[in-house]
Amino acid sequence: MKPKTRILIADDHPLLRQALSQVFSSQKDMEIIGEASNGEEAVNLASQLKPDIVVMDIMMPQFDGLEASRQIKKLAPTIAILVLTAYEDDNYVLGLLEAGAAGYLLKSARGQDLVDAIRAIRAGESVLHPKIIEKLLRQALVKSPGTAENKIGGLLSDRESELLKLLATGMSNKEIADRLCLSLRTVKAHMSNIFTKMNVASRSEALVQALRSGLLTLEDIKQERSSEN
Amino acid sequence: MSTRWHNFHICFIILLFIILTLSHYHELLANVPLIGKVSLTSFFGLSTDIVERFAYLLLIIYAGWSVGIKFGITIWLASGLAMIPQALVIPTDTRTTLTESFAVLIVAGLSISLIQMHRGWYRQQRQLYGITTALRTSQENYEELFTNASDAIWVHDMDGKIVIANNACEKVSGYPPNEVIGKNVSEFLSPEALNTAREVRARLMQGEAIDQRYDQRLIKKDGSETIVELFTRLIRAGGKPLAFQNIARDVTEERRLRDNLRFQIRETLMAQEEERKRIARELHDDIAQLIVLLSRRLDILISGGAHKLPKATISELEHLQNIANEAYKSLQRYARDLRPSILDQMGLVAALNWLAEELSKELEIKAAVKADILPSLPSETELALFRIAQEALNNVRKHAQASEVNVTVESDSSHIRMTITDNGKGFSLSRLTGDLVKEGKLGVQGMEERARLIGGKLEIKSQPGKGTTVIVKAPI
Repeated sequence: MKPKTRILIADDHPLLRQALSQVFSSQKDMEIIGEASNGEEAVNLASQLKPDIVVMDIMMPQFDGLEASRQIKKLAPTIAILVLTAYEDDNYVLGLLEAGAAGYLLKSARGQDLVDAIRAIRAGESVLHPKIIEKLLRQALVKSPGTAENKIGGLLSDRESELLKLLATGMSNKEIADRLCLSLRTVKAHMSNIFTKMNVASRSEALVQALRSGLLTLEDIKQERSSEN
Repeated sequence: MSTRWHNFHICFIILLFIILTLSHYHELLANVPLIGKVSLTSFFGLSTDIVERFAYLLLIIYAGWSVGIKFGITIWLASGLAMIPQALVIPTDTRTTLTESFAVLIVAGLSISLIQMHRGWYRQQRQLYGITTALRTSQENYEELFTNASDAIWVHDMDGKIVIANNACEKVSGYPPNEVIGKNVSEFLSPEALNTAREVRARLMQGEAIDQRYDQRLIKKDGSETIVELFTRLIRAGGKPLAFQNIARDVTEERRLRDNLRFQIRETLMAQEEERKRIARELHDDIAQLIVLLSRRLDILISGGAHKLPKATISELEHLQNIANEAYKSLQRYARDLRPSILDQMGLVAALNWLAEELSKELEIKAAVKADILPSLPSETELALFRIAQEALNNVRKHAQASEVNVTVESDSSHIRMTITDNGKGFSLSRLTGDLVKEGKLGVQGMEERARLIGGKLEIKSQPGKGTTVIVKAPI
């Protein structure tokens, strides 16, 4: 049997933590390994317990969820972070992604949505709306790409680079598999390799990294999109 | 002399001259009726001829005096012509009569010359007197103006020694005018004020004219401070700097009022910001969390009871959860309007982007943000710039009727500069300070105060029909 997804919850409200943990523990493939009540504690617990995913409230005392996310990503880049936020407008979300979030949900999201999001992140699927991805690309272009160089590019195989471009279009693993005539398993394996090589924990981060390093451009995405249609 | 009198004198003199000449030749004309009777008698034993010559003399002088030099000369010539034939033809002793005649002519000539000279001198004296009087009046007026002007006026020499000072100097210095004179201006200046004075002096010495009044702080006799609006001019003599002329208006009270107003605006802004922050936090941390909890518990109830509870109950619970979620969203919107957490969490540029997008969404305005990669800014600076941008964009929304707004943020090592430009209808800047405030639009003042709070400066450029530009420059 597949190992359970190990989750750390960070929220300053005890009753909310309790409600969250109730949602996750009722799932057979998930387990709560810790609860943090502020940003600092979240960073400490994350580096100690090495969870797969941190579910983080953005508004917390000490340093907030955003700062905690940055620190966790610095200490342990392979930990994915799902942010719970009060706002979901684009600029805000872009900021969350810049800080290293794998995805975000509104705080008031249903339990099922939370569970689905965690599974998607674990599977290397996209949890972002295509509109957000495009916006991310635009902003990346403005911010003069190509600073981190093709360090990452050199690491990736041709196939993986191809996959990365498809990934940026927001296609699901299944769609990518169909497109490239591969099995879903193979695509997942590739994804996992890409993430490992790029030292990230999710698609969103891979995307952000790729944009930062200039590995992806808006042209790539447009090309892929048009050939898709 | 009036023309009438003039003409009367001319006619009268000509008449006298004719009578006199007839008399002079009465011996020749003795047979002519009436005219032959005209004759002057002898006086004091003098002969008729001598009396007549004397009468000619008087007539010439009279003509020269009453009518003018030209008429005098005419009569003088005429008298000469009249007398000489008589002197040559009639009497027995030609030599004596000729001598007498010439003597009369010479004396008459001298007399009218003297009269003329005196006239000229007299006229000059009159003119001189008039000028002197006018000058004295003007000087008195000037002195009166200088001494009692409400502005303090003084002149100090190149070493700073005060050489002239008016009464109003007492108001700004605390010393009576006679004590002010002789003191050095530096005695009234704090080190800071002295620096300003040196700067002004240097500029003036370089030949720059300083048209605008500048603020200066003077220390009074009792140690208190006067704020004056000062106008300084360099006086030169033959190109050489000679002294400085100063006109100072006491604006202590005005400045104090202005400072008070500023202070109040500042305090209000800060209190408002604090209050907003507190309310936003409470909404966010307390009430919002409770609503989320409510939603979450309903969710657990729904998913846990999917099999056990009747369908109608489940759908009612889902409805309740939706209401809770809506309440959460509107609460967050409200909290965000009070205090945009995007600013605290994502920084200025993200927050400006958010503002621009909100504006674009609401109206058909193309709003764009162009920003340098900024160094990390103090949170007060970020907040102030954000609020200024918010106010500026609000003005665009309400008044500008613009189709495009651009926000740019640039920074160098020491300063940050934010520019907000629209292509709207603009306004005339003269309306700015007075009328806008009167109309209750304190927004502009609020922006200025916020800029000042972070040590920055706000500048507004606008012209009717040419859009508006708001520029903030602040140190970082």
